[in-house]
Amino acid sequence: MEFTIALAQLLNGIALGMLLFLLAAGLSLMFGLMGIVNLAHGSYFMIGGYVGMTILEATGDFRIAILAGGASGAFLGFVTERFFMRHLYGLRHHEPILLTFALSLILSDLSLFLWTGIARWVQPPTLLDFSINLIGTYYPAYRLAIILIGIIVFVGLYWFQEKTRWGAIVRAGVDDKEMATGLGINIPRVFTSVFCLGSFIAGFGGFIGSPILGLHIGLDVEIIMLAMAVVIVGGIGNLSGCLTTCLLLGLADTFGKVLWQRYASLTIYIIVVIVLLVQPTGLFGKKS
Amino acid sequence: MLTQRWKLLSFVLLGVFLIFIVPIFPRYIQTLFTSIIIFSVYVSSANLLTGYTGLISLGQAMFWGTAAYLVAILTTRGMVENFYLILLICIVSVVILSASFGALAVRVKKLYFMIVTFAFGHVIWSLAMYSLQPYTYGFDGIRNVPRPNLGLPWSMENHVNFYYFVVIIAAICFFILYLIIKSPFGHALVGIRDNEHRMIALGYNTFLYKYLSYIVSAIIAGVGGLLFAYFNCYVNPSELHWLWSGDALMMMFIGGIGAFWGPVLGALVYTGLRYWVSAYTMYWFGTEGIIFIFVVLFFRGGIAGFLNDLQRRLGQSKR
Repeated sequence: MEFTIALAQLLNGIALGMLLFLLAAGLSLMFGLMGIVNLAHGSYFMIGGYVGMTILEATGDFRIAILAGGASGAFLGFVTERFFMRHLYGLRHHEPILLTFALSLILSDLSLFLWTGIARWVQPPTLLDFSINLIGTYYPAYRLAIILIGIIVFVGLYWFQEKTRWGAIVRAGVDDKEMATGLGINIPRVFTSVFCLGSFIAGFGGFIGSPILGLHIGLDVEIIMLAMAVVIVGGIGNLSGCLTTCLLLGLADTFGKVLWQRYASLTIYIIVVIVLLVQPTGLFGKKS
Repeated sequence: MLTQRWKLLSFVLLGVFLIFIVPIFPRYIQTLFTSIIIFSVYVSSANLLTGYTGLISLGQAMFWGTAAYLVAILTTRGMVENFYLILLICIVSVVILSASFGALAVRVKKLYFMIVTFAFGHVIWSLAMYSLQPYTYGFDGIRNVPRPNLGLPWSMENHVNFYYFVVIIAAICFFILYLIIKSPFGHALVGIRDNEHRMIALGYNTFLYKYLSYIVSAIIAGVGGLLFAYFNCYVNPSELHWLWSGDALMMMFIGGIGAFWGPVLGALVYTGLRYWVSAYTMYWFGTEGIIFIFVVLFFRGGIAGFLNDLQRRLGQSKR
């Protein structure tokens, strides 16, 4: 492989990893705090993209569209938590998971109804719709912007979790729910907030990712599959572990598609199997 | 004793219904019942794993679809004609597949188990969809799968004969599942579902029990898939898709999780509703989701749980 192509693919992989991080950060936070796997998380991503696209077509302003995508994700997350999940905490594991599965089916059919089955693309904003010369190869500025946004979100979440009072409350909830309740923390409200935050980032990621990934029915499943792989490989641990895993899998997927076309869809799962064999709790997971 | 007699009576009635009544119905109803019976086998296999062992798998379609694809590939390419040989090949392949994936998946904890089976199912799906296209024809699937050749005087091209064939195979599967669940092995599985730590303390090798349950459940699901390939005469990647694994859980939940006949009730209601709803709308999956949310929030025991409740209340009012 030529150096310039390798460089472009490297950046593509990092951009994909960053998009994945926007999804997986919320997913792994919910998993850590509430012990649920939210299968509808990919639907927030897809619907965030579609809503953003619709708003962009209506207003022509990319910034408003980004906010609308995130807000639609947050709204769906709020509805999921407040009206459905709340009745199911403390039950055996399967009910909450199957409920999110049912929600993802409904949201997928809803998107099919609202936006039809035709694949759509979103144009990057004109401000970023150019290519940068990187040591002999031209690379789209929009993808570099996504990498930058991923870094900003990571730093923001890290600061939120480690340095703010709210972050401390969430960490307390992850560690020991009963003790946190005993200290006067309103755990149900923390659950709702975390759900909203996680799904806001997912919806936001769905829209800013749409110029790269496109928008089509079935995107929800494709992206949640990758995020699930992140959860297995990285384990439930810290935010930086999650980012590292996302970048690893993003790069593996991108290079798999270049080097090994026919079996490219398997690259990530081969990593999953190897990690499970070596360390069933994941690379960065807590050891039990 | 009353309940015992009722059980026997309803069992006999079910047998009479399946053997004598269904074949005189119009053909489309017979076809519907054939599919319901095949789906019941599939959902019961998932019930052994989820309802009795407490492991939620989102990869059950992997075994169903693998067997279906094997039947389709072997028969349409004229490699193997003999039904018994195909059955053997399917079972052996499903055992190999489930033994190798199970060794990885059963080791991890509950929620991870679900994600891992989900991931494995996706691998097999993408193999059929993209990587093995020369054999599976990708998205188009394999058409014109012939009916089985049993080497008996009755032709399976006749749909009533084929219906009886499905009933017999399904009855064998249910009998095997019943024996397993009533055996000490089955009781140990329920023990693991309810309290794994206690079973470990009692000296059980819980990994082995869960692993065997996973393999048996895969075999039964594989037999279901084999029947389906012969029944449908057409196999495509949706048989391997995780939505179909999710459907198994849906049917199980609607019917009543962990109840022996729950999957049958679930498959009956699910297939009937799907047949009915699909006549009016293309949005079946959304409808299914709504039904399911309703069941999870208000009818947590499913139909079997509801019937049990009803029976208990009637019994109390009599006294």
